[in-house]
Amino acid sequence: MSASVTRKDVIARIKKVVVEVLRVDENRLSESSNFQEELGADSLDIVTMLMALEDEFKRQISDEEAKSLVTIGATADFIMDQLQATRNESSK
Amino acid sequence: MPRRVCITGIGIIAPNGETKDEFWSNCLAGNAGVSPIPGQWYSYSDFVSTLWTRLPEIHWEKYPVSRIERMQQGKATLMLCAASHQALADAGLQNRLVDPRKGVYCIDAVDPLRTGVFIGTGIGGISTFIENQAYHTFTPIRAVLDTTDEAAGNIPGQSSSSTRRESLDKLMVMPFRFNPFAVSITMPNACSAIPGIKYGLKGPNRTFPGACAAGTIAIGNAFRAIQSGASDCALTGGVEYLFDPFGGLFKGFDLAKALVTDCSDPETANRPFDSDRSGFLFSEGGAAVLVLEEESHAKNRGAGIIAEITGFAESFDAHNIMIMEPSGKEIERMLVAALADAPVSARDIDYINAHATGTRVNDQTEAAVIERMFGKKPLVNSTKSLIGHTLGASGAIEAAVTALSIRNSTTHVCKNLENPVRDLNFVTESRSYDITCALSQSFAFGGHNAALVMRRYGD
Repeated sequence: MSASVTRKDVIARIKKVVVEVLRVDENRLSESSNFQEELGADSLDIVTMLMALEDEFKRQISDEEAKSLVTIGATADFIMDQLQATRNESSK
Repeated sequence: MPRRVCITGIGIIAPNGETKDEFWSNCLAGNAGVSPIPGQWYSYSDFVSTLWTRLPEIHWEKYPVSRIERMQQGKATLMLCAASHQALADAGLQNRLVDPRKGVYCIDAVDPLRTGVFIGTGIGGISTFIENQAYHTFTPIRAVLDTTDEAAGNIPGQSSSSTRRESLDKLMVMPFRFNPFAVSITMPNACSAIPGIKYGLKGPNRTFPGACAAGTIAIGNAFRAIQSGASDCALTGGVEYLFDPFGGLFKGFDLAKALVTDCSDPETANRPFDSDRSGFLFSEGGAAVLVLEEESHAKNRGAGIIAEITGFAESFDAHNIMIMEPSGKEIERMLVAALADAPVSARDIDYINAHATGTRVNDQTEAAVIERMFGKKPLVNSTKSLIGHTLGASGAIEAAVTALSIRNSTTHVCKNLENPVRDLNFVTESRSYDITCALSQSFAFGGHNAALVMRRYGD
């Protein structure tokens, strides 16, 4: 993954996954969109979305990490942190 | 007067065709698809048998299965969805997407409460189980090896100084993750549940784990459900998917000495009913789905009728879990019952799609039973001589071949048959034949035998 990935890029890619899994109108989505409360995702939808996010960003998401991924914004924060950690690791 | 049961649609994915039409034209042309087993399997074992038939590339974009569904399901149920889609289109049963989120369709012309799903399989989604088990097993082993590498000052997982580690990494083939849908993919009943969910069908929903007779048993039970009035319509057939990264499923059959042993010439290795046969040709798998309808249900909507199913019977050897009872008396008992069920006499049968795997005992017994019961009149062929043995899918694929042979007044050759085990009327030429009444039979590990009788509709 390119080191120049921006938060805006990450948000766009998360939205693409959310649209594909939950079949919602992308125009409905914002950073504060809550997957379960607002978008109606059930537990299997969440599991599926995590798989799709893992595929999209080529990294595994643990059960513990997944607990905090309740909105698009929170998911973007997590992905950005992961990208930064990878950059730090590779620059050592 | 019992209700009549008609076949109005067929969908097939087989080693020699991704669609029914491609499959059928390749069958009539005698085209098989034999290839060497995957090279990676030799990393784990040697094998006596070295050939199999591979599935064709499946163009999922043609079928109502999304990328997300492909993450949630195994290849067996995905192939069933594709074959069901083909069969419904063949039957002229329009369907429309009613729940885009769940990928659920509705078939307007059927009552979902009176439409069942009856599917046979040998081992369901076990391929996915094996892959997940590999992830489960190898992940901690990799972690231990990484720790050992670190202690030795190597980069974990990239220890260029250790060819042993590289060799181990190559052996520890595993997916990116443990699939959280592993349970629902593995359970055999997913094979009927998934098409039922896909098309919102709420009638009887049953999966038949009848090994190599599973497809035939499933279709027979669908036939009974419609004939008895419990259902008006059914999606029915069989499926199997037998690839795993380690060749373990193949190894099981190889060790059991069931597979073709003389692999010197891939084109002629697979030779059911031939005196020089040496076992069955393993197949990566396949799927066939038939749409069955009660006669008036089909006629009222103007459906084309491919053939009629008129009889079904089962028997059980109670002999050996892996070896057919050699006298064939239970097969004969089953055939007597199937003919009585139709009802037709043995001399009415024009064509028999035999089980004919290519194993020594099975073909000898089956050929003797055919000669005793039917004499030399009926045409006999083996679809497995073309595509190998697709186990739980085979009975359904062969039922489809039987129906298509009736419908088209022709059938395929019994490939590679040079010195027949008995002097039967084996099909040696694909040409026009008068086929009014036909029979398809299957025998399974366990001792299960099943047969379907079909006839040309309107005769």
